Amino acid sequence: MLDVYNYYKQMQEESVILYFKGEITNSLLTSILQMVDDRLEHKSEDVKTKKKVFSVLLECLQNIYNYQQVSEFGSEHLLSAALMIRRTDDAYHIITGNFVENTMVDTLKEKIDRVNSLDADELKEFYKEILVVNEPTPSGGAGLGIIDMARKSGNKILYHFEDSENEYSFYSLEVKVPIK
Amino acid sequence: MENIKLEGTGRTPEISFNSQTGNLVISGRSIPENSIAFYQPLFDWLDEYIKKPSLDTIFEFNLEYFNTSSSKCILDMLRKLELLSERQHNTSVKWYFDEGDEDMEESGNDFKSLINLDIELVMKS
Repeated sequence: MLDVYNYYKQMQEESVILYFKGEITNSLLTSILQMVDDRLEHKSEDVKTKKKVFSVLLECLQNIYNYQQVSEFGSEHLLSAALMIRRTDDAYHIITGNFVENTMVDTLKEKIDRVNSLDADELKEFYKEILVVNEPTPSGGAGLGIIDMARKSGNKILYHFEDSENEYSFYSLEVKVPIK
Repeated sequence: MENIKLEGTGRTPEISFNSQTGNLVISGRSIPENSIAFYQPLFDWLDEYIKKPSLDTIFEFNLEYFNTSSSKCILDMLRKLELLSERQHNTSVKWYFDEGDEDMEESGNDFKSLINLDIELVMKS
């Protein structure tokens, strides 16, 4: 039998409060948000922290969802994504992983590096600049998600790309929201 | 023209647009993944409304959350009101935020700096 206890212990040690793997469908997105909402309520987290965690999570998941709507994955398992939320003493860590086409990697890196190089005021200006000029993509995303995550969390966004198979890479993203 | 009255859902805000009173209210959560689909009927309504507006127009934003996909739509609605104001109609905007919700306050300020309209930031206590 698979050692579930082992998985449990590891998640406990790493302060994981939620782990999910699978396709992020529309109805699932609603359920995840509802679940996290309840969990934050239960932990009687400060309303500021709660709103920031919720917003960051929302943008992360909608980025994945929107990307899946426009990309043509050859195989079904490439639609599978991972979501992990850790609550350490000083922060919530929202961590996602999903497959992206290799052709996207440089664009994403450039975008996150640019966002990470800006301070709070510059992020505000950058956000407004994109808001005013950018026409939304057909899937509805306006390309503001990453900037918003950086603004709301007040932290640099961590990322990693892992070569996975042929034309795809596994894209991991971590946003750390401080606990007030 | 017909007024718009929509119940809020887990993803979309409650809407009350009244062309007789000129009171337009949007409240709750605006987090649809495809915001254009939700907002298009509201854009259409506003386009009609500004042709024959009420004497005074007050647009109230009382949002708990909105995603980045909605922020573009909010800006577009404000731009329509900007047109109204340019034609010398009384037009005002109230942007509500909870006490201590700096992010929502900041968002109000973002729009304020982008739009030439009287946007009042109102702290809810």
